[in-house]
Amino acid sequence: MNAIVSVNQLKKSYNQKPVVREISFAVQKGEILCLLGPNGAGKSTTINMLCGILGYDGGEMSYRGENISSCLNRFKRNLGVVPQDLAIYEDLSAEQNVRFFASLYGLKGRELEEKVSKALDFSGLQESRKDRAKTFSGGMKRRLNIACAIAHEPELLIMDEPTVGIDPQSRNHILSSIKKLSQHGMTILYTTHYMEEVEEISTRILIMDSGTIIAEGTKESLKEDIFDERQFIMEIEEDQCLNVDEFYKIEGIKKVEKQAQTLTITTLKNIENLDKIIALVITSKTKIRNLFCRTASLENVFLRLTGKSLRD
Amino acid sequence: MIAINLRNLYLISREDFKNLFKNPMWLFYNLVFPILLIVVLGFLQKDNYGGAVSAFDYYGITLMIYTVISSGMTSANAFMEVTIRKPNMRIIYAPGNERVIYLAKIVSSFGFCLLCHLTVAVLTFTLFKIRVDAIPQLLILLVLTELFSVGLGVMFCCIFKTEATANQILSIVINIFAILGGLLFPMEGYGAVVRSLSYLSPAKWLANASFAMIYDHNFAWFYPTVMGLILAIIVVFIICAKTFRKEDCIC
Ligand SMILES: Nc1ncnc2c1ncn2[C@@H]1O[C@H](COP(=O)(O)OP(=O)(O)O)[C@@H](O)[C@H]1O
Ligand SMILES: [Mg+2]
Repeated sequence: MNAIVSVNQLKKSYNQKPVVREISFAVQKGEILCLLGPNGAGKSTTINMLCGILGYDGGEMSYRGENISSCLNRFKRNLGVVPQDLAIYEDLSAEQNVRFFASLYGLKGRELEEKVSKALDFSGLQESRKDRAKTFSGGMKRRLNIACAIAHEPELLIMDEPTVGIDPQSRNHILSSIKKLSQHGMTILYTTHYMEEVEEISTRILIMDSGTIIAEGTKESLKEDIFDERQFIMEIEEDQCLNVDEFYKIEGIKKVEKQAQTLTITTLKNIENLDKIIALVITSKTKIRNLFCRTASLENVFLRLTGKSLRD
Repeated sequence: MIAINLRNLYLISREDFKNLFKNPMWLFYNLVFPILLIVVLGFLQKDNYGGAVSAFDYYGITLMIYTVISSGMTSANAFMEVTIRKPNMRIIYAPGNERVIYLAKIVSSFGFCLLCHLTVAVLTFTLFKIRVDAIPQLLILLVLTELFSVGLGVMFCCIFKTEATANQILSIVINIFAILGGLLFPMEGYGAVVRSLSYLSPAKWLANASFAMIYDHNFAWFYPTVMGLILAIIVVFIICAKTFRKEDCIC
């Protein structure tokens, strides 16, 4: 396997309360791995242990097959971190911030200036590079927070909820730059509690809740695995002749609900029965005005797995 | 490995040093406030002093000592102030030893405070014709005390984990030192117990050593004070090393 980082049985407790419970996963080269979970799931704790800022109670982590503690500096040199909270000097300009943090990675001279400029360009901050960070909007500060993490061109970029509390425009900018970074060969580990972000950027997903990884896969495979059902939603022209109980005679039907003009039919996914359903509706002299099929969203996946919704 | 640590120590110290100069509060606290203190107390107490030692001669020295033993307030701030804490995390992400963080805060605050306090001394001592002597020895005391104080500030941050608590405790400790050392008002006439207690305060030793050198060319206090300071600095650094945890930088 082409794992850049692998985590094995990692655990951490605060005051005897387990926060991360023996989790294992690997980050493969080139992927955008999303760690999805509600607030308090243990995402930041996991990330902080991985970045070496937080000690852990048990387990192992390795970088390219070598124990991280024995190659910590090599690992850190190839690692970029965007922490959950802004970690920038408010009194410095955008450029000074990026330059300072990049210089800690041993960059200097022409190379340093070039990479600083590239990171600022990339984050769309080139025009405001001379302005002090404290004059920036929330979205610009977030982008600067990212610029500070990528200037040294890390192999692995870890981002902890980098879009919390910003305007949609900045969020879109950030999401598309993540895809661009990935195209340039950067491997990305991204935590979030926003489903839509995962849908948009992930190449693989880990779903985390209460300190455990409860599911793993691509967004398609997660939906496939967890749901063997799908729903047909029909908008119909109200007709007294339609007898809901008749539907249950069709193979695969699990549940039928009728509410005013809407008919919701839940059926097993692997059984082809749409033609029979439509035939039944038509023979009941009911007109179908609209029909659509609802497949599971990641939100449903999460709801199904944990019995609770992601949003609090 | 050592090279990157030294380079990062230099880079971080330089950045922190510049940041201290950008903060008007710390400039005021280390540059303007001591001058004001000396001026105010010097004038207020003018009539209580006379003859060989003027009020300015006395308060010029004691308030300089007071200022220098207060440097920990600045280093505690430079280490753990809210706006500084977060960027500190990035320093831990970077390659190298995480100890460069607190070492850099000691180095930068030391440079900043020393520069400010030298300026204060030169200005007030010439303006108010405050008597000085044994300047090289006084400079040695200044440098050592400065290092001890900024180390103390960082040590309190390492122990108490937040700037707010560290500063509260620190200001109590500093003021006890100052009062026991007779920096704000003389402690003579408070009895034998207070007098022996006062020797627990580094301020007492500093004041005695300074006045003995300036007025009597007597160096008897100087050497034990230097030895004591060096010892205290070593202890402070050891406590910092034992109590610093990178986890405390997460916020
Ligand atoms: N320093 C700490 N002390 C005690 N509990 C903590 C600490 N940091 C985090 N926790 C707890 O650990 C759990 C996971 O937190 P965190 O990793 O920040 O979650 P997430 O990033 O997924 O929102 C939470 O219940 C939080 O209250
Ligand atoms: Mg978090």
